[in-house]
Amino acid sequence: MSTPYYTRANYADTMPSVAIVMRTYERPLLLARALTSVCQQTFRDWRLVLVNNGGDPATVDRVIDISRLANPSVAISVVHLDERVGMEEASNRGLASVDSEFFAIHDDDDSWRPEFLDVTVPTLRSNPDASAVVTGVTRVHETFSKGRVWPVRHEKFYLVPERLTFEGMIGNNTFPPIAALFRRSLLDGVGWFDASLPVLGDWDFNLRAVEAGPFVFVPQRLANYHTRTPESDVSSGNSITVGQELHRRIKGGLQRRWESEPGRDGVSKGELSRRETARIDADDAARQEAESRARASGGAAAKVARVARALKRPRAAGRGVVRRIRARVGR
Amino acid sequence: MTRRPTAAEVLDARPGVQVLSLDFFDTLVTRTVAQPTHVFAEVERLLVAEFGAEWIGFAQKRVQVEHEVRVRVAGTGSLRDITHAEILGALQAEMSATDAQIEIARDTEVRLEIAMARLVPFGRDLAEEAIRRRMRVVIVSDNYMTSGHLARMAHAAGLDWVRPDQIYVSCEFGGMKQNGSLWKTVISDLGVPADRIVHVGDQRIADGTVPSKMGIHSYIDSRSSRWHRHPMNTCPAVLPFSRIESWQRDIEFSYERDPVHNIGESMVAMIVAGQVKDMLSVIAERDVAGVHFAARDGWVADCVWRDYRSNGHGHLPEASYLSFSRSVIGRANITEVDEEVAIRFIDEHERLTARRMSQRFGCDIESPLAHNVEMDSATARQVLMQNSDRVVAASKQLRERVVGHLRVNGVLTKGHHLVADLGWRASTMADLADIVAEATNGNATIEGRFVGLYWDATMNRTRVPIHGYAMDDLGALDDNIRLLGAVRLFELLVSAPHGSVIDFHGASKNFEPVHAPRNDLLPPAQDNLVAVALAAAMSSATKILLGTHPSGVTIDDITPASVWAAMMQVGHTPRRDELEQLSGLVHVASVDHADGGTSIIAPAPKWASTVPLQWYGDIYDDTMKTRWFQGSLRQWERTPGAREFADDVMRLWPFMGPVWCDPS
Repeated sequence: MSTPYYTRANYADTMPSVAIVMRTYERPLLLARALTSVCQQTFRDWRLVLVNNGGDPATVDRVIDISRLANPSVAISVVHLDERVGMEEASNRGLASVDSEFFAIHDDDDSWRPEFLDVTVPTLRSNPDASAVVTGVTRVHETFSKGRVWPVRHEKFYLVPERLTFEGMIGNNTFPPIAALFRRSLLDGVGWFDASLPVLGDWDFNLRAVEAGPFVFVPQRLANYHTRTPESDVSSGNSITVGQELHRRIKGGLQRRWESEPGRDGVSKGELSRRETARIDADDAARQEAESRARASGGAAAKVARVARALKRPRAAGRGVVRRIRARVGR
Repeated sequence: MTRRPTAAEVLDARPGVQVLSLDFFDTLVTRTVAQPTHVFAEVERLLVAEFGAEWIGFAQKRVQVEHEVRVRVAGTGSLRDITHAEILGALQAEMSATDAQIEIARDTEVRLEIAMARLVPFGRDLAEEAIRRRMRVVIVSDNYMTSGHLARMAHAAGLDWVRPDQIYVSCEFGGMKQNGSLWKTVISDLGVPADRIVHVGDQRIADGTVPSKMGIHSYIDSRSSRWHRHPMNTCPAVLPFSRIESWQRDIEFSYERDPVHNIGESMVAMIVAGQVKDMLSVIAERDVAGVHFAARDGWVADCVWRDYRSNGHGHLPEASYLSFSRSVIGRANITEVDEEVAIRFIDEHERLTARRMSQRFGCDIESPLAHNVEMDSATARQVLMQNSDRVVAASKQLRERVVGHLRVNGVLTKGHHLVADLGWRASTMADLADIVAEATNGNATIEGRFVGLYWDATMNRTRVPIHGYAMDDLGALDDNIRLLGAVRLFELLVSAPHGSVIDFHGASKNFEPVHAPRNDLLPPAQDNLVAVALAAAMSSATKILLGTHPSGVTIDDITPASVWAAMMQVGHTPRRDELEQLSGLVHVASVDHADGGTSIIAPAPKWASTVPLQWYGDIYDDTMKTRWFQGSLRQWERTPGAREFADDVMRLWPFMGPVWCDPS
């Protein structure tokens, strides 16, 4: 459950519109990229709280110093934690150190398009009942190895407004933290991130938040959710791609915990979550099958087009056949 | 340069003709943009301002929808053309627009078509000559716009004599030029034999082959339409480049110019104006200790900065030109010669003599072989590692001279310096930052301001602050790869006229750069081509910044998106005439700039259509690393026997297809 013991710091400076909390641990290269993502925001009224979760302070300071050279006026503060704590604890420590109208959790391996805050802040302001704004997401598959990071594939992250309701989210975590901007007052209303959760703390928080007010969806893909390919160094992995078993275990634990919490129509939150998980899994499987069928029919269409081309340009088609045969026999 | 016949000569060559038939678009009337679909980009710009972000992408949807409606109607076997109402109906469904919104879109499009109309001088001359000869003049057009609308466009372009009843437009007559049915109507309606008609147009089939088959004399003039690039590359960002191209097109109605001159005046000028504007925007926000344009890429921008300062902007700081190359900074940073260093400085495909290695590393390289005997790369790398001490000592001395050059140019002054470069990985800038920091104990720092960066720049963000103006490693992957595929072209065209920097003189010569001598292995025309592009770019960029460019493009039009659009219009979708001229250029990538380099256009593989699929990856990698990928691909598309291969490449790597513009 939420942790009530975080108290607000003494805020000497004026309150920014947006507090951005970034947790990092020993990934300077990704951190430098994430800082660029924040510093390039065309909306400037933000403060970044970087929570160095037990990593080498000198490394983090050096990356920040380099970033500050090009962005001397930006507001960045650092919380160096002596020992590594859980992700949600780190988020709470960051949030506790700054007051703001809105807040965002920007993981150190993700990135925003420069317009992210420029679009989400006015949207949340113009929807006073909403708890959060969530934008479209590009999923970036990338390899991180031996001090280099390079993208392998970009794809559209499947996200529709229906997946941003309580019913849409109860079965599964439907969007990565990088896609959302939250109203800060939520923390007082529904509580902070649950520091006891090693993973899925964002899911738990989102479900509480969406009960307090709807999430507004902006379809523009303004957030990049980066995940590392299996070839990457283990230390760079996402919590999801690296710890799938842990996710399953924590999810089960949360669903058990929610058995005692009200859901909808007399069904407990936990039971509802289990049912929806099953339904979403089935939906996803059906969608994947439909996509696979579409690809297959695309293959059939390609075959028809090939025949039409062959009729039009028989010599070229002949060469194509030779090429395909050679390819098949491995020459 | 081809001498084209005059209007009188075209008519004289067909004695006895009584009727002059003119195609409308790109024969009699064109627009103030380089290609028709860019009118929709202007419509999109206005609609987004009016209705908001949901109209982003309108221009591409408009093109796509028109295409789909055409395919649908053609699929019914009908010979008729489509109508504007059909296009708008499909567009409304596609965009889920209200009746009121689609009416505003229609009205904006119609209004802009008229406002952007511009006459084609040759078409006007033909019509005036025909009228003088008392010939009948008609207009025959395949289009979805009505004759009344076309007449209004003609009037807006200054052709007052045009009346709607002179116009045969496909959407009103139930047939098209393309399939011959409109020609039947025209011949019958005019009441003269077909051989008494001469038709002038720009489309080889609709205006040439088809009417000729029916006995009509025809003449093709495609001077206007040859400026068209891919129709789907249309968005507001492309408009500044398009306006420059349309201005160039209008000039070429009078006289032809080298394509490379036009590229210099448009794309290169916009890149350079972008470099300068980026500097101006930083200076406006914060104090900096110095502004520097670096490497050969920065030479033009430095010249333009000086011109800009001396034309009413003297309050700006003086800039310096840091003349260095990637290899000289890399060599100045060698602290030990291990395998990684050997690989970095000796390319896998190189064959080197000890003499050439001595020149390359600035020290006497000892080798078991005679000094003029060539070694393969593996042997050369071994020899280099055996000479580690000498190389490191030479590197140390070179580093001192580099530091001297930096000091002379003010880079070691205390404070934060901006250094502009073209791109692409920022590794040289990171090396430079290390040198500056060490030489000043951290009192001077630098920041790299680049036109473009791709993903390999990410690892250098921990060493030096860097910024990509038109593209960076956080941009879309497809765009990152498109940038990588075109960097050879940009490096060639945005470059100083002097040779590459291979060393620096000592203090007695004020640490001036030592340039590589003219490389006799390069094609003789290369220097001239590059010089033509540079001269055009310099003048054009200065005018853009000063607001005196005859195209009307100003500094306000220079944005990251518009510079990127210019880079992609040429770098990703070059026209045939551009490719013909640029295919002679050679890119030299060796560390000492002493070999013959590689043509930036890769020849199509022999027996291209039978290349085994498993070879495609190697061809892709090799072309991407050493050539102008997109230039090569577009050339293959146009080469008999290689087209199917090019199609396969684009199927395997769809982002290398001709459409670079992606508003999502």
